Amino acid sequence: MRRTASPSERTATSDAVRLIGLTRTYGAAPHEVAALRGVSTTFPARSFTAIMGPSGSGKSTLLQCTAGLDQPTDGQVLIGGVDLSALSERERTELRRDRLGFVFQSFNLIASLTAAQNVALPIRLSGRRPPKEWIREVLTLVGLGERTHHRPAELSGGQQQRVAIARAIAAQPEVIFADEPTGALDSRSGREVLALLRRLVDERGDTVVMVTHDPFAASHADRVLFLSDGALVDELRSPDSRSVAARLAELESV
Amino acid sequence: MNAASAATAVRDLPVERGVRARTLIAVAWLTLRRRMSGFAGAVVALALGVAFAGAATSMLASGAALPPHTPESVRRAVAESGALLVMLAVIGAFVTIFVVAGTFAFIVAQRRKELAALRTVGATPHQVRGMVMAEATLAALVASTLGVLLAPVFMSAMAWLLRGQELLPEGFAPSVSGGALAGCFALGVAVGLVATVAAARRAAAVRPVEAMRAAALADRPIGRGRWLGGLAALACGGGMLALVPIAPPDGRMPLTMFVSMPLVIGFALLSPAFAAWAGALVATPLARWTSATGELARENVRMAARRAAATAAPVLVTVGLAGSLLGGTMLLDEAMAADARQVWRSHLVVSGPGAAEAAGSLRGLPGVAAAVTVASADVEVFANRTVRTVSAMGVDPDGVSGVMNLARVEGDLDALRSGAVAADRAQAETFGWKLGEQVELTLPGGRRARPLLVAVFDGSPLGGGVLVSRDLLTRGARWTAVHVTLESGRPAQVDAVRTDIGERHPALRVDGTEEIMAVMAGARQEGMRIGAIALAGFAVAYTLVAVANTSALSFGARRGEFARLLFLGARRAQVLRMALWEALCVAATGVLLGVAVTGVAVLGLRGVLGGLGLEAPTAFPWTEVGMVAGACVLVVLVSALVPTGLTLRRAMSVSDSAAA
Repeated sequence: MRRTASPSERTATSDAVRLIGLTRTYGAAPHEVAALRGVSTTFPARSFTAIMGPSGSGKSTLLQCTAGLDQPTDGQVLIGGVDLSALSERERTELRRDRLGFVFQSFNLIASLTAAQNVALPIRLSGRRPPKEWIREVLTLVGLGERTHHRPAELSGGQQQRVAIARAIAAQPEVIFADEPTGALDSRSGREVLALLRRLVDERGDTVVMVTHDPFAASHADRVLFLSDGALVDELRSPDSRSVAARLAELESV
Repeated sequence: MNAASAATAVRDLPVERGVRARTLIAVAWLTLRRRMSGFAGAVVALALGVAFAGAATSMLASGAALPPHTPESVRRAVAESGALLVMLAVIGAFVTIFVVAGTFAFIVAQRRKELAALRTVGATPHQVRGMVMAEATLAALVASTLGVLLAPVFMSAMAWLLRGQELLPEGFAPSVSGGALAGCFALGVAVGLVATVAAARRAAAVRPVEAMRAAALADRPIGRGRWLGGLAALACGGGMLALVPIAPPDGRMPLTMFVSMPLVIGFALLSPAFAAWAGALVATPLARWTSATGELARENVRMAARRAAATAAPVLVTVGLAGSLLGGTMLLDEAMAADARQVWRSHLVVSGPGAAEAAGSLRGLPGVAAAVTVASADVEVFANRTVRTVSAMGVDPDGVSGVMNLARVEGDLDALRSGAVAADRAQAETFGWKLGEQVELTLPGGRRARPLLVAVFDGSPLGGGVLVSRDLLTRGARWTAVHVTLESGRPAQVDAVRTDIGERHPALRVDGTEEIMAVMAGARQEGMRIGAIALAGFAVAYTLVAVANTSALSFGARRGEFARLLFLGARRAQVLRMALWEALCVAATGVLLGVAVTGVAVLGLRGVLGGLGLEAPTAFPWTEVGMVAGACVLVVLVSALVPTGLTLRRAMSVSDSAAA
């Protein structure tokens, strides 16, 4: 088993993820469509980055390529110094399991498992047995310590999304990828989820990369990257909702 | 923070053996319990199959272990029912694999998103496959246990039915065999696993990206493997049909009985390709007569060809199997009756105690051209490493060609006096018999003999029996009668001779040859008809489970879509009507394809029988097959409308509460 970063190494690494000239095209030569055109950036450790852009700007493709769910046509993705393109499908799966966390718009919990079982699943799939109290602690951290034995159908949308976040952080990943995490939630639950993600970065030193189209969600990040037509076109630091919305409106009107 | 530090140490935990496997099995078990309604079809089908196989093999085992003093007639009856039960078991296994495979494919298709999520959080394709296989194993274990518990009940019911049809003697009481049940339990689990392999492979191929978006399931066209498999199955069915004329005569009937299976598989595999246009064909008039619901239904069937095909496939199996089995049996009945008519030239058959002794005096009667004593029995022939039971007729050579149709005789029929046989040319070839050489027979009572093959001839197209010299059948003949051929077959003369014999030999019974052949064929046909109805009835009961299951699953899973239609202003009744039209299209598609299977099988068989020199028979059991098709349509409609109705009620209450 490959030894992965221990806490001390984590603080030592400044970049959790580095993208170098990431390009993704679909289709063959004459009808080629470029979803990403040479995107280069870094997601520093202990940072919270939001990726925004109009529909079709390539933000989903960027997330999928970065998380090893899709293969870039050209360029490199380095996660904790490991080049994804050098890995086999099986190794990429194991890397996702051991070093990445995922939060989806539609939660994607396993319906037949309880909250605690859902959280423990990725660790158990790696052949390890997490002690019960660990799982309970992680669920307590997301505010669901009393709900460990509930199944997804017995939880509200916001609670399900917090279980999904607990699942994402249980194995202490190097990066957490969130795809429109508030897209299916009412505004109150959405705010709770965003505050939780913010807290993970501030208090635990987690790294979060979030794709969203909601300026309010993006305002929780340290930095917002704007994509247009497959290329990075702008960046806002310490954003607020209004400036994000204004920039997005500009991009969409082009 | 405490939690953080604890979680940091996750990677320092040891990797333990067995945790992965136990996790997969636990997830599979929880999924199974939670989705029991989805698995119900597969479990019920498999449980029925195991129960049936357990009952049948127990009966066979009881039959094999009959006490030594059991009369021969009981042994024979038990053996014949055994053959029927074996055919039922083959069909049962076939249908079970089909139903279980269909159900699992469906469950996997419905869970793509969940499986993709599993892949994203770190399950390898191998683990996903293992999980689906674990689900199948657990479902198969549950089903096989249920089946074993049901088997004794089934066996009693079966014995009661067979006794009621007089296929089994009153005295035969089967007992449950532990070994048979254990074997069937293992077989049930194995069948469940084999049936899931394809679905599990499909599950393992789900890509993690599919978890990212609420993308609607694109209906993928038929894959290359499916095309190849479907075409190969059709070719196999065609090949089996083409083999019939060159197969050994006693292998022709089983071959024709099973031609329908590869055809059914082929049509079912290719059904997504047909479903779109077959459905559109049915739906186009609907779209004209109704305002919007018919058109919606047509587009639903056309766009979701694969979903429609999944529901239509069990209907296709039911109608195709029932049609080809019942239709094929009816054709064979007619063909065998025609065959029997072609064997004999005689006009009258004289039977009863003392008939054989009276043969000499019958020959002297005015108007009689030939009178030959024929003793019937069954003999066993050992050929091509199998033992076959063949009907044998013990005859005297004098005048035998006067009472039988023996064309192109080669060798010497006159030599058929002692220790000799004569056989149909094709049959002799199948047995590997050569003219002028000794052959091996086992006579009634187990006596072995090595008579000489003295002649071959062209007999009836379906083979008929072998002729043996009478000394071989002095003991153990089933029936002895004298066949009488008259100088002319005019009814007046036939009646005159009949009266004459009746006066001279009042103890003997005189029948017209055609009448007695019809009676004998009728008895045999009755047996075959009961067999075919048992086969088809079993297959139908079985597949109706599958029809109901897939139909209920696919309509029950469309809650969101129906809720959207309500939201757009459709009335409940309109959505129900749309579901009704859609179900009708799907059921009709299945029936159409089933009729196509039946057509190919029955017309093919008819051509083959015609090619063998029999008058081409034309009968078809329209009523029975019509009833089967009707039952399928009814089951699809009910199992579509009930879940749709329930879903609509729920959707209504949800939107009501949202409005409140």
